[in-house]
Amino acid sequence: MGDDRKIKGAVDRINNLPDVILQHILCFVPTTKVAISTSLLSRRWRHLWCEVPSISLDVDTLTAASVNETLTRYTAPMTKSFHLILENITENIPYIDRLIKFAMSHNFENLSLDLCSSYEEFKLPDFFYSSDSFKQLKIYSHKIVPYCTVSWTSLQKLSLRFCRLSDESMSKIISGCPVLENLTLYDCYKLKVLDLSKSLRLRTLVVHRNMGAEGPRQIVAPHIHCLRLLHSQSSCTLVDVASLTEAKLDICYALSNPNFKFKAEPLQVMVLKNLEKLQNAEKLTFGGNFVKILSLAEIRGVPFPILKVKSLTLDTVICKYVIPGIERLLQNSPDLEKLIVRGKIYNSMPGEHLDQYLKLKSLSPDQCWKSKDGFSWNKSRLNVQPKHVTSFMELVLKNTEKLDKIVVLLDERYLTFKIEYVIPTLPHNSNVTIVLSSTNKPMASEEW
Amino acid sequence: MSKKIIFESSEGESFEVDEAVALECQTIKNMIEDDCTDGGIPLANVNSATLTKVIDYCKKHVEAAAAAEANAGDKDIYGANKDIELKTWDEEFVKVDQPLLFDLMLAANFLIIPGLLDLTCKTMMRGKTVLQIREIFHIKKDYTDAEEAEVRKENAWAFE
Repeated sequence: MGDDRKIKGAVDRINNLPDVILQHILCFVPTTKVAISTSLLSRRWRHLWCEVPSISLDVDTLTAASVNETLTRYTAPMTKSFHLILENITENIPYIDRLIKFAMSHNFENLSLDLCSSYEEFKLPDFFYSSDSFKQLKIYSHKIVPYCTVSWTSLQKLSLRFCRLSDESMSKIISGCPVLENLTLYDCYKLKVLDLSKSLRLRTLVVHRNMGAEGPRQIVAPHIHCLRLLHSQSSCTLVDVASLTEAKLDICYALSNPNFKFKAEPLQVMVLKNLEKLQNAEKLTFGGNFVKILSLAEIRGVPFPILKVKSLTLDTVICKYVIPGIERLLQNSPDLEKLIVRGKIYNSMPGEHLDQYLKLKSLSPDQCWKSKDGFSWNKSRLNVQPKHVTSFMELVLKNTEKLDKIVVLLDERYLTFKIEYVIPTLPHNSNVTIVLSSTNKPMASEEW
Repeated sequence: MSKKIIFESSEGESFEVDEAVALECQTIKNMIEDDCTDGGIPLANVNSATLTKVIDYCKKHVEAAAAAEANAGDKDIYGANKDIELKTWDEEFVKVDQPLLFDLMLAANFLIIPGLLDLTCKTMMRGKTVLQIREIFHIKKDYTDAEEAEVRKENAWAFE
């Protein structure tokens, strides 16, 4: 595009555009700072940024006062989203309040506040907790403590990250959001009981309990239809998820954490209890770690509930550590119509940890991981061979009745063979469509 | 067979498209609903080169939407990859020279194709400094020195 400026037709065209289009263009520049810098271009551009519907600010101590000053010139009649990143909260408290006041007085619908700091005493101003314009809120802050009543009457989507949130604060927030549809909690580690029984419109709940994150320990969400739950090592009970139709569960396995301890036994209790609560869901997705824990439970002979699942997705590579769990899941899912296995490799629990646990229980890992018909499964993603893929398909066909489709997606990056070699060896079954495919792209399952 | 709609470019050239493709344009959708598309739709401010691209864009997005619906299950399998594919296509689509990008943006604005308008607007200034913007778009500085100093002063933090 180096020759653009020589093309005559381009001359002055931008100057003939209506303000609305120029402002639309400015919506897409990375930050409001960049948008403001275009005010240097010409008189026409001087105040253009003032009406751009979205504001995105990264404020530091040096600029906080001037940013506030600049925003007094903001006059957009229609506003959309306001995104604020603020560091050094200690020194900027008065400015935070003013920035939030600004956002609220301009009726931004989508607000995203990134106020992460180790400063303990910071609290969001009381007036923040009362707004009828917020539709989406994302808060990334250590402390949210509403000392007043919360009233976010239009809020549909709430996302809280790293919030040291007590049960009491959470329940205050929830009771102030009568039309909440979507709630996301990342590492809200102080929570004990997440009670959403009064959120009648809540349909989707996403909970990430990364690393050592304890909370929440209990989830009461009778109205949700869709649950995504990433467990930490500490247990979390699904007390009531009676309306659930769709769920995705996995366990975070943080090896890098020095305090990490593999709690095989409580995890087995937890996944089975979880499974009981998922009995009515028609669409389930389990991560590899979740399936490995199910395998341990199966080896130890713990009874599994019967599931009504019709579509089951397993985000795991084919290896010996997941086979017992998968076999049991299939046997206990009589209505299963579709099975998808995606070779996910993210955050995987090492097999040796499972072996160690079995030894502690005086079981022989080699015996336990051998399948009932004596077939030896591979150990990891690195040694999947065509025969393993074929045997896997056979295992699935043997353990299902209503199945009409199996999809196995292999990760090309670790494959030592071409999938074409497997095709002639695949079992034939006229009722079931078998799809075998490989990809070198990161799989969606890696986005938790 | 699906119903056809005929567009006429500013040069008078005719373009026949499926109704489904034409429906991607809100403006045309309104016309179709009001039943005033017989005998073709003259687009006096859209030239043939631009119209060809606009039709490509609408076609691709109609096909992608249809494919997504037909293979709803694929989304479960490949997750976001399908969307990534369309995004990559979009990225390639707007790798055009500045005048055509302008024409596309204006056409998207006139025909009301929100996706294409966003795409062209996003591309217009991406990664460019104020200096480059001035140069590429021939924006003449009409500030006096004193005015410019004032502009710099009023939002000094944004120019650091």
